[in-house]
Amino acid sequence: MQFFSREHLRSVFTKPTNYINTNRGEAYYKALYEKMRKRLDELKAMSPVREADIKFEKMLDMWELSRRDFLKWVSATTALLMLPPNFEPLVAEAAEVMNRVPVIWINIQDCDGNSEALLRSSAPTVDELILEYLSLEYHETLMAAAGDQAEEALEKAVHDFKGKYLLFVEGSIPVGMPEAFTIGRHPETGVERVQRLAKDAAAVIAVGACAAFGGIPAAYPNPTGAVGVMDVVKGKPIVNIPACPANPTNMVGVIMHYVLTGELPELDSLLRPKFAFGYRIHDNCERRAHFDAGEFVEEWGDEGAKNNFCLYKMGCKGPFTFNNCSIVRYNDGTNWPIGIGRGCIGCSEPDFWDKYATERPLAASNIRPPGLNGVESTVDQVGLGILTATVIGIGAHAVASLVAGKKSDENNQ
Amino acid sequence: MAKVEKRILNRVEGEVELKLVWEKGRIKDAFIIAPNFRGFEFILENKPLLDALVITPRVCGICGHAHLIATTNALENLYRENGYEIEVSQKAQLIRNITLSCEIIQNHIRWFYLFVIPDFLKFNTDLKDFYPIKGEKWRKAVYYSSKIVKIIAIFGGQWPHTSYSIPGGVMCEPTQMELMEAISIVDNVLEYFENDVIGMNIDDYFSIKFLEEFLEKSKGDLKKIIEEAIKLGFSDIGKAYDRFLTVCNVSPFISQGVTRRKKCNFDVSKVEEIETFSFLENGKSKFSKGKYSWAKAPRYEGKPFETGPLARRINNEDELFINLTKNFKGYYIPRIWARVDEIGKILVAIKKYLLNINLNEPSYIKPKVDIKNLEGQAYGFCEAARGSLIHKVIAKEGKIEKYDIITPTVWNLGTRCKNYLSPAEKAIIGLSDKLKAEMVVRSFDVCSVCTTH
Repeated sequence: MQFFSREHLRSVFTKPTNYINTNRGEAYYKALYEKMRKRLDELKAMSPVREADIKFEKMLDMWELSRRDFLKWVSATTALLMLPPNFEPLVAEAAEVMNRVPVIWINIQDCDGNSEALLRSSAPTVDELILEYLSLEYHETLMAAAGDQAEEALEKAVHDFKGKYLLFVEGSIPVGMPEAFTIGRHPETGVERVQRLAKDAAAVIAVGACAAFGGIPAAYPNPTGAVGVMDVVKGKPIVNIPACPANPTNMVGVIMHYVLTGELPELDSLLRPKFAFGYRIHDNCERRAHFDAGEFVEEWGDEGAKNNFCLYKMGCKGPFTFNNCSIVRYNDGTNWPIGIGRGCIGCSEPDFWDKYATERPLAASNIRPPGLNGVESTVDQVGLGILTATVIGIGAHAVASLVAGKKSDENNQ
Repeated sequence: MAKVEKRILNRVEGEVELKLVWEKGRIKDAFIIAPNFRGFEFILENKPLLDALVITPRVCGICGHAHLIATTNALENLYRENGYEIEVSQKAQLIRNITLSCEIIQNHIRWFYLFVIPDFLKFNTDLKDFYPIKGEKWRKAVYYSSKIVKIIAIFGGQWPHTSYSIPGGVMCEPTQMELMEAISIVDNVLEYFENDVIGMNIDDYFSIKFLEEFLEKSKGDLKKIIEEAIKLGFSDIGKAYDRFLTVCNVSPFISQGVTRRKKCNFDVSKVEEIETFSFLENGKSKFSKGKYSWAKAPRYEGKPFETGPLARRINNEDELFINLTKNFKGYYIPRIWARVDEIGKILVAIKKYLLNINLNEPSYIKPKVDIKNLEGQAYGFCEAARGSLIHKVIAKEGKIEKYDIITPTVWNLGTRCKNYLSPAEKAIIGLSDKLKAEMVVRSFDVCSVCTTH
């Protein structure tokens, strides 16, 4: 597929799979409520994975978080999962029974960035707390055990929670060059490790751009033949939570959904949960009004930059990128790249290193923003605008990345 | 008969394996194996020059910002190499310093409490407060190391993987309110550092010149751990080579230099990377006998050098640390202390930077020439959390022809060469206890993802 072809751009702008229905009618929610109620009662009847674990209340207390903070988090999470407000009590209960779900977190070809994002967005939020409260049976960076002891813990967890644990994978898997990742006393390659641990998992959750789609190791020329989890694991439910790094809020969202329903959330064609990847960055961007008004940053540091104008001409890929950064932001909602005037690089899309992350290509020429046609109708029209624009005049810069992209396509085939 | 043992080192960034050769109850030879490889240098080839600004930060999830700064420097130096002047406002320079410093602080706090101290729990169960997740001290460390990165988010948009710096300046336009917020965060973390970590007033702490003086005056966690370490016999283990390397000046507390017996200036042309024992040779992967890690072996004038906070202290001719290296025959304790010491020095510096920002200056000054016209080769340097970081870019027709990254951890934890072991390998030779060997390796602040990239 040609990235700059008319068909591709049209498909990006009118992707039907990402249509999300935020109001499914009373009957639907009533049935869902019943289902969740039942599931939670079942979980409550179970005992925590580890008996000695602390109670959730005490955990909140230890971190000096009040019940009020917790309730605020509950409302936010309920909204994140696109559930009506009357589901809030269920979400609160679900948080308290989260230690019934064992989690194993493994790292393959990674940079540890997603673990980092998870561990400390900015200050310990309820999100992070939840991740701690989870029964995290294995995490090579966070755990106190080390060496053989740690490997034993992993084997034991796999054995004890066969078919029940959630497997989180961070990092891509080098299929082309298995030597690029080996671990263990009896060396195991990345593919072997992921496949073995996925076999007994309830579901596999690929965290970050690398685990989801291969990410940066898979960028042209893909020196290690890296691929994402879904290319290696077959016959298991898989959820991708891409972005570089993945947002901890979305990780928690997926786990919450699993606890509430025993199922994975609704996914799009790239296996991303729709509640998080259902919109483009552009749709909810704080700078959107400037786009519609035709007010753009033309150069770093210009008047537009000082006035928070739209970054589209500076190469922002927000109109092409499905993610909820514009709503949940990073580091505990402190900020996000567009907030400081750095355009989106499209990090939650497949192959973004070759196709999106380059400085300006898609926005390298003048576009005429259709300011008068109302917010929602603009997206497609802008798309068509770019379409003509890209055909006529992309700079050498864009051509270079285009070539890189093409080559990687050939490479992948 | 020598016995070979392989151990996986957890609780570090990434994955590292130790291969220890035992003889008569002591470690006779040691191999540090970094088994994870992604190929950043190959991915960067043929990409547009500015793309490096978003790609290199992804080398590491914990010190990615240092890579961004090193890339920015390299590209700015490329302008200079081509004979063009490039102007960066003081404001932009200060903002870069601030965000880089915050990244160093978060790393140091977390390394000390999450990676170093848990090992001491195995010897002494009195340190209950430090226990992972359940201990109050552990949680506090997570809290404050998380808090400080909020400043990076204020200026850089997100952390990890920040990409907001470009040749000519930075992209953000901070407001007075944001500066105030950042200052209050620094004050808050500084208070924590004084109360908990060093347990004394920071000015008093800076005046200390001797070990005994510190042990007498301090009431903090650092003192507790140092005493514990002395008690456990760490005073004379963990020495690598008495050679230290620092590549950048960061006013007022870091000065570049190369120290072995005496100090001289750093000269990048004396750096070379040896590939004899690395799986990577001449840009190709090779798995022949004897090769054992993806890391290379950087050498300065053919010799291995240690880099990192201890090197920075020695090269800055810090009296306290020069005395410490005399007190302790091994460098395990000084190495840990130097890293913790740096937190205080940097916090004070950040506050100064923040107070000196003039918001009326431009954030970005457009370079006079388009970057596509640049050719040739340039270096970028940066003092990162784990030590000295070197980037080298070779440009051709506006694209990257070759990119070379020499990370701090590859100096410390890389492979051996024909004549010398890497500093961390050297530091554990002769030890009789495997836990202690692991602890010494952790004292270098292991990050395998940077080591191999």
